[in-house]
Amino acid sequence: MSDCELIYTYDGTFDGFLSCVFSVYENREIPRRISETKNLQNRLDCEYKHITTDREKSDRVYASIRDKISYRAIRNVFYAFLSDKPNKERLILDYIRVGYQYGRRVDNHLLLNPVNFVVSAERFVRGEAHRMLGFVRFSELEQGVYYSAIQPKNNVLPIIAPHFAHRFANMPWLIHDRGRNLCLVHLSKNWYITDVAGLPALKFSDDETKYRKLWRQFYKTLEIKERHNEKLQKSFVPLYYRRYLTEFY
Amino acid sequence: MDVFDKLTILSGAAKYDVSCTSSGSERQNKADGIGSASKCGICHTWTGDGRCVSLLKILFTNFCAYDCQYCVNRSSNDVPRASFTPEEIAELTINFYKRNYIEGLFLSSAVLKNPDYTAELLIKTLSLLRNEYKFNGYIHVKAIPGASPFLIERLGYLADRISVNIELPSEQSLASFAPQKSKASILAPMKQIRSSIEESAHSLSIYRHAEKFAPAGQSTQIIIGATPESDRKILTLSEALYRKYSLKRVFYSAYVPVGTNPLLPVAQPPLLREHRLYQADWLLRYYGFNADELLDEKTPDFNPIIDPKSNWALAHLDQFPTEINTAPYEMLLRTPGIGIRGAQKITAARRAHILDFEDLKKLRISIKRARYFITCKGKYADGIKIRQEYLSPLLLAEKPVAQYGQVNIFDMLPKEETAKCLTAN
Repeated sequence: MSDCELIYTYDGTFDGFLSCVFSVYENREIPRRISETKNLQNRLDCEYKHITTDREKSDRVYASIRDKISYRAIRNVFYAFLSDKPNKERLILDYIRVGYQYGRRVDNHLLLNPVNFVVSAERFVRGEAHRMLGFVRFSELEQGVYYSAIQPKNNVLPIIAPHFAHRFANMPWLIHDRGRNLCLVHLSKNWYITDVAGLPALKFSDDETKYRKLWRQFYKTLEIKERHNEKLQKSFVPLYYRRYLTEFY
Repeated sequence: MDVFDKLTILSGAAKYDVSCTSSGSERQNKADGIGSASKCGICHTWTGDGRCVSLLKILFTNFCAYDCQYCVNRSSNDVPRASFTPEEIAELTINFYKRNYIEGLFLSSAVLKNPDYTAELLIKTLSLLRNEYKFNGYIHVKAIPGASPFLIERLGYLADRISVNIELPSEQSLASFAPQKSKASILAPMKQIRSSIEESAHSLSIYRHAEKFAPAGQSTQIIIGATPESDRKILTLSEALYRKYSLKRVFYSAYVPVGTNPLLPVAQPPLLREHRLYQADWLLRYYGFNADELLDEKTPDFNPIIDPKSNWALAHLDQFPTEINTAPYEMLLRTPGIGIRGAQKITAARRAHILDFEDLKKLRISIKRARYFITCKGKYADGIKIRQEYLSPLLLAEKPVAQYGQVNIFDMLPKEETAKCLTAN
């Protein structure tokens, strides 16, 4: 066993991850890594164990973190899980373990690696999600559906969904995460996230060009030329995010 | 004239109003409506000058009866003029909003005919948006100075934020450049707005569904550098506005030369001065400073090469160093180089560990500036051993310092103060 590393595999969902946490405590073992099945590189010197997602187990872990550590902790765990950081699962597991040790004061232990990781990953994800609230650009399609493409670094769709569902409650709309091929769909007051391989060619409504033109003109007019400051602008709208922003293309 | 040209003229005319915040209101979307307001505000993009765009910022009209010399829309200025109709504004707002271009509308106006007539047009526009289009997004409206109190009252109930611009920070300046305005005509609506906000807050505490009057509060704008007022005068004014009028924000706008009056400056906008005022403004609102701590009669203006907080710290070296492990939160906030987030991280982390400089690094708190003012476990940072080296070039030759950019804070100190600072401990 000593030269054989234990690796958990799971389906990549948050429930799947929490089921892994359940198994850690159930089997009293700590895997070297927890890895999404599809990212797996099989190595001979490792022992692989696939953890099947079990809603009942994940709900128990969820409630336990919330009640025994803190509401903030379960939020940290969820947000950090949505980040794109490598090896996040194992670090989050360590955070949970530290959390059970210290209870609700866990976030004071910023100098411990897993806490530091989770707290900063949470901040990174929250920051990008907030940015996306502003950077989503809907286009009106022929059928009256509003479509938007984004490409965030983290998987922010579950975080931004309630905001848009509340704000545009009576509109059918889609937010398409191009990097992950996920689509947030809002139809008849319900939203869900689904995988999409590709979308059919989009046909825009007649008004679309007009309002894009108006928006670009408004944006252009708004700058005070005497105060031009590209560096400052770049720090707020990094080039990475400009691809899908109407005013930049 | 089509909407495209109107938008060009009337957004171009509104852009000198710097306020573009959408924060402070938590308006909920109601049944069959569109939109909501987010408590923390959302920026949707940033212009080439680095200013945030969160609202559709336009004037209703730029036909103006007034002739304020500092203003691009003054009646004597030869610029193209236009007016929107309430329907055009509502259409534009809704369609921009649906595409998530904006958080809402910022509606200001020149004074068309007279203040009451203008205010009524604004009310008509906002009612159309709120009642016909069921728009629950953010609306910031300008109270037209001189309009009847009951019209301002109506505006306040339709908007999330209502503001009156002071523009020029003294009575004399107003008299010389904005003859139709007076201190009284500006302060009267501000007073009225304040009491309406208080009343509304009071009735809300009794009746849950009481109507909200300007839930995001009021703000104002002061033009910097058009008239000779000192920074001290401006900052004292801001402080009074925050305290007496419970303003949410005072905005500072470096004067961009748009006037032709020979008494107005033609130079580039004083951006650095504006920046210093904003820094000081934050010190007032979030860091527990008073205006007269930052500036006094002897030094009525901010130092262009050193930020207000460091400036204060250098004048109060007796209160330093700050011991990271024991200093109260308030003192951490007063330490140069440590901000709100840094202070919060320190107070959280030190409950669990005794902090050292290495730990600060791990918490990602930069001590580039703070290291001269802090100790960990009673010791200064290692780099501070080279304190002598900071001193010597200063003693050898008076180096001219660059006007802009980061400079070492010790470069511009009087010598005896530097010596005092460096030998302290």
